[in-house]
Amino acid sequence: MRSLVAALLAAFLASGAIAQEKAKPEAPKDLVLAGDAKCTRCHDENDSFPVLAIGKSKHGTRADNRTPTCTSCHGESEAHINKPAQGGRPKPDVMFSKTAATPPEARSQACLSCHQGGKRIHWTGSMHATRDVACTSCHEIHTGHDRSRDKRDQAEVCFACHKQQRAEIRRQSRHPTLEGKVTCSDCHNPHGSAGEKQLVRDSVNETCYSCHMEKRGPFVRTHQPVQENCVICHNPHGSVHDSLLKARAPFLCQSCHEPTSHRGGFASITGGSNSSTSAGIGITLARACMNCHTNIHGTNNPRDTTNERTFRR
Amino acid sequence: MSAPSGARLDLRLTAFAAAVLAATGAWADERDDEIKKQTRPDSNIEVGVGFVDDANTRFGQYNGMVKDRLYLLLDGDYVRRDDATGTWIGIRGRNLGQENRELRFEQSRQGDWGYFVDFSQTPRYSPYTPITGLTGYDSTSQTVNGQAPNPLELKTERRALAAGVEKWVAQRWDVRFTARQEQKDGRRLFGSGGGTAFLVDPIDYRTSLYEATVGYTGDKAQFTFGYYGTNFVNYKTRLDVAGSPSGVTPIGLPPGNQSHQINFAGGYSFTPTTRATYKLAYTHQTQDDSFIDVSTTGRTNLGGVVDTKFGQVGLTARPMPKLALVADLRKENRDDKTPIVDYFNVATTNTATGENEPRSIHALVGKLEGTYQLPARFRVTGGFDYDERKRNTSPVRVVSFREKTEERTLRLDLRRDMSETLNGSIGYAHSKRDGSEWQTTVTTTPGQLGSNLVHPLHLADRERDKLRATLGWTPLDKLDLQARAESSKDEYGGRTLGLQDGSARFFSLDGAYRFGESWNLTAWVSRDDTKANLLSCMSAASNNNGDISACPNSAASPIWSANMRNVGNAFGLGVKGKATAQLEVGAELQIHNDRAEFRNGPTPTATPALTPPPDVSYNRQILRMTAKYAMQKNAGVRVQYVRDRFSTNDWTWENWTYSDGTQVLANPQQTVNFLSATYYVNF
Repeated sequence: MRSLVAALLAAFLASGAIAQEKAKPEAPKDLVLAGDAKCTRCHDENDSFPVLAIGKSKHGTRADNRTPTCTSCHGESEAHINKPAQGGRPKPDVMFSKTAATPPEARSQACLSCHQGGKRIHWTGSMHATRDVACTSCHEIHTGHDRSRDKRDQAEVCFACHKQQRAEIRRQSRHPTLEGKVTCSDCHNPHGSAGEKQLVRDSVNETCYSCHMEKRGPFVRTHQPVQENCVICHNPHGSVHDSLLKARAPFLCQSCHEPTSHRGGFASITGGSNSSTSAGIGITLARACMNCHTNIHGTNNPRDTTNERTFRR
Repeated sequence: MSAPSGARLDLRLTAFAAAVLAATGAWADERDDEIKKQTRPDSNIEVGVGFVDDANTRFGQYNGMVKDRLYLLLDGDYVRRDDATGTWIGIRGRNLGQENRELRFEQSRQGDWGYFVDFSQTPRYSPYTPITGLTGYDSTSQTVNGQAPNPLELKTERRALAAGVEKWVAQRWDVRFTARQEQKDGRRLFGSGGGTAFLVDPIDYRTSLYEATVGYTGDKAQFTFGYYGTNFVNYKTRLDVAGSPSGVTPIGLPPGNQSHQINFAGGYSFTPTTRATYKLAYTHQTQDDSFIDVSTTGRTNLGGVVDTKFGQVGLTARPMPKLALVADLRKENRDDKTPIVDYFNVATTNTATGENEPRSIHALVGKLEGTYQLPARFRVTGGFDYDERKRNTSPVRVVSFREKTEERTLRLDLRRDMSETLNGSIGYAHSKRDGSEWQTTVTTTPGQLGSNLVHPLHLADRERDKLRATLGWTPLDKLDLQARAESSKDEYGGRTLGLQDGSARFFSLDGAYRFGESWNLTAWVSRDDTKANLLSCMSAASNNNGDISACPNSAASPIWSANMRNVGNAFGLGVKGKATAQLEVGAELQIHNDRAEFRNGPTPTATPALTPPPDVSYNRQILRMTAKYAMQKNAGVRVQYVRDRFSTNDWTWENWTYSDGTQVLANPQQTVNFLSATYYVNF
């Protein structure tokens, strides 16, 4: 009999609890972010857009008291939360989708309110910022896997706008970008930088040297354009010509050098010999001009046995 | 024995109550599980094998799959977060069974401290295979024709180990230190003149980068104070060659160098719409590697010193709601303070002295830009860019030179957000580059000028016009279209020979369409077309002083032109989606056709006859098909098939034999089949 009473009591309490819940709804609990209940009471685990996945990201680390809540980025959005009697439900105050009405500057401001330091100091005024690129144009927030921060996927994010580079990076002479070994952000800081072309270092050459330090010198004999700017001769995004050259030797060399001596030599795939310099295969096949001028970036050899000063030894 | 009826009622009621409670609890547990699943960081591991058939060095250039065999495919991410403390642990492995493997371990307490260790390996297989008798190719003592000719694999490999720590102090301050050391070794195609012998550059480099910063992030002010140090060591700076054409040994290989930089960068937001940014940096770089050969000056090293001062200041403001302004000024002074010494001790010629030539380069780059919001959702942006470069020169030159170039660009851009689903822009820019007086080349005859028929391409006067248009259209919720067109034209001025003019055109069209519940179709096409027209002549007199009549312009030594052109056509088509609840499939086709033209002529008369280089084309087609079948909710198998086809008619190595008999195979036709099967688990 005691069991019967206990069972009835339990059932009563349970049903009572349910009834009480119906009568006086319990305040919704936060699901992911501190203070997210006002949003996750609707945008919960069943939402078609997986908003809760933000919990997988750094933003979802509640132990870090700097992390945001929904309204930190999307605005208080009172009209969205408390739908007006007339008409449909307005969108939240700040939206980030491609077709959202929120201006790109306002979208980025939601991020910059926390992320304006470090490598993002030069965001404002950068080419991206002034050309309507918002942080969320590249970054995905409601996910643990942001493609722009994954070396294997990043280039495809950049290629969404940089179409010419998409074609160039697949040329026969290229960096290992498609393999995720040299990514766009290894050379460029998409958040803006003090140097040119949003490069991670202050100049083109200093950026290239971080991997190609052997070209830095200074040498006993220096090749002036090498010291001035690597991209005078090279296209780092890819080329049909070996060594990422913008044009093939001897034509590239003849774009600067006088036609005296052998320097106006006629490129030809026949004629001459492998050591002829005035015309024929010696200046056209194999490494062309570099068949002899093998140290074209500069030489540190202090002797002049065989014209070291012309990068031959 | 049956239970009494009262007891049975008790049991039923107890069971009922328990069921009610259990159902409520179970629902809550199930929901908690679902929420946890959606919010807990993901980990995964994928393991399997891939088989390469008809392998080649184009397909395997950077992934190391250059042989017909099975390869272990192993990737994984282990990410865990202690929610109570915000402590993350991450282990990431990529391509662990291949030569381009990466492994990273990191741990951090978010907002407090963190550290990482990272290893990365990158191979590079040359697409070219020399058949050579060279011996000692991995050393600094090489012997030409030291053995019977054999195929030689040319490969370099980078192995980088990086580590870093960071610590946040009082939320606004952070301290970071990273160090990266990369070892690069292997064989690079090399050679020597004086008869063109095939050699190998025996690469053996160590590059170390160190970076330390102290950062502050406030509401209005943010800054970093940092140190950036580099150290480059080449363990093989000298190459001795035996059996080669006379006079080419020893060959100098790149010397080591090192640098130290301190920098200070920051930003300050005066108001929500007015912000200034700045950076100051000073770099001291030295190069004092021991000379490989005795210097006639008695010096044992160059004593190279380059000091670089860098400064940048920028301002963005919105003085009126409809007007946004951007100003930026950057100055970099690279001063090469290497002592000038008469190293070569040769008689001064018209093209060189025996002195080394330190290169100092000063750059001043500025921009001023304004954007105004016009009626009808139009916005106009006007800008002015200024780029000034100054370099030093020496009294004796091999090419004409100018110490200063200035380029000014005016640009106008009009864009309109026609609706939330349609936007477009059109922009025009005009640039003009000129500079200081030309310093011409001279001859050894006092007062006699040298050949001055060409202005170097990066110094020449140039006018550039550039037009760009973009269109983004989302006609349907499921359809996205993007188009981009660019055209530019260059006119070079000044000298008779050298680059005359050029142009570049680019067009692309992208489309993405979502259909069904989970299907995506993407397609894109692009074409770029770059031209440059060059004029030169054979055997010009060395004292022509810019007089084109100094070119013989005869049948044997004509004035010739080259109409260089690079054309790239690219096409991509992809589809992916869910065929069933368990099966995801995808297919992607890429076609790239690139062509280089040279078109030089008229052809000089010669015996044997000369043949202008024909066009070179590179064709690549990649077909990739994947299927992913979920055997369980969090586990399944993935199968991938790739067919990679490459072909070229490149003549670079076709008719070439080094004087030592070495020939180089370019492997112009390559078709690779790659099939893989992997098992994945998400947890």
